Amino acid sequence: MNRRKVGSAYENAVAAALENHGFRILERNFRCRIGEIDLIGLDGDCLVFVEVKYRKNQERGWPEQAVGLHKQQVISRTADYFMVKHPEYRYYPIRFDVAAVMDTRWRLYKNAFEYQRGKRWN
Amino acid sequence: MARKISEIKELLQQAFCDGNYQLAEAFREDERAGVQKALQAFDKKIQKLEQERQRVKAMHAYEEEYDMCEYICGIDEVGRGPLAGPVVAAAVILPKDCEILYINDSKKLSEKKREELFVEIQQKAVAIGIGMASVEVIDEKNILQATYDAMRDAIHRLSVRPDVLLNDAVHIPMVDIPQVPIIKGDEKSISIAAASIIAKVTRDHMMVAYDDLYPGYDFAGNKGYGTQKHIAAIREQGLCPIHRKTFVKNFV
Repeated sequence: MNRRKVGSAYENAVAAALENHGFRILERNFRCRIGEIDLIGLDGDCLVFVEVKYRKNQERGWPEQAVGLHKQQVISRTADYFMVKHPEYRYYPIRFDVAAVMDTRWRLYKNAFEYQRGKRWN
Repeated sequence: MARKISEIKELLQQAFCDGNYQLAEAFREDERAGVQKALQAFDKKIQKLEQERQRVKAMHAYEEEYDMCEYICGIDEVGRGPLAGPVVAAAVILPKDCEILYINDSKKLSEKKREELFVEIQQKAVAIGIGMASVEVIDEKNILQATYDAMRDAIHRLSVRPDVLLNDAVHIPMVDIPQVPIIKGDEKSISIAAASIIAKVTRDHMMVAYDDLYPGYDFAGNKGYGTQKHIAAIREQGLCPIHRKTFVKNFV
């Protein structure tokens, strides 16, 4: 089965569920040259960057463990790009969440990590 | 059996150009004063080159801050002050980590250096856009609006759309791209410095050409700026079509 397709089907489900919970989705698959962010939305007046991780089971660790330091840096830098492109959000409080999906269950880890500046990018 | 000092000097000169710094080591032990002096000069040259490399690297500070963007564009203009001629703006997008030695704000460079860098920037840039606002526009609106027009023009002429604009302390109205105004930007940012050079050299070439068309004001020398000679010429022979009427009211 197409691995990418499976991933995005769950992103859709997460997006829909988040909207039901009061999130306002701003962007899906937001890209810049460094990387991408699965979901960007507003939770109240907090700007949230969500990484969706899907695992069939916990054989390879819980989905939330899949967002390591490097990935956190990529997401942080991509979030910077979002705020360059949308200066109206520049001063909003921000949060980095991980939506961990396993089979039919999912869970939102709010504030799963902090903004990671990282070293210079090439 | 030892080489002639003059030969060694030539070899060192060549080695510096080739980047073959190892060659100097072969002559370190040579006790002749002439050789030692030549080696000292060689070492100093390398040191200066390295310092220049570091200086240029430091001019990438803002470009690095926005390196998650694909295309970072520097904007600058020239010709706000002169009594004659258009105002010219340039938009320059450089590749990441672009090294252009001796680059600086165009006002700080000699004409010769500016012309050299003008060529080098065109060779290395990802995209360049040049815009201008004519004397008529300057007289009709005002120099500030004309400058904004020229800058917008320059941005629209780029072959790619920039993700972010680095400006020399201005914010350009009616531009749908994120902008970063930087005070003394033409000294601090390599992209803005590059834009300042493109704008200045382009405008200078134009003014030299205008000198042929409208002689007597020394446009080739003063580029339209209000030097004593220029003002005296206005008093003597009046205005020409490229004089900014709103600027020269007092002299006529």
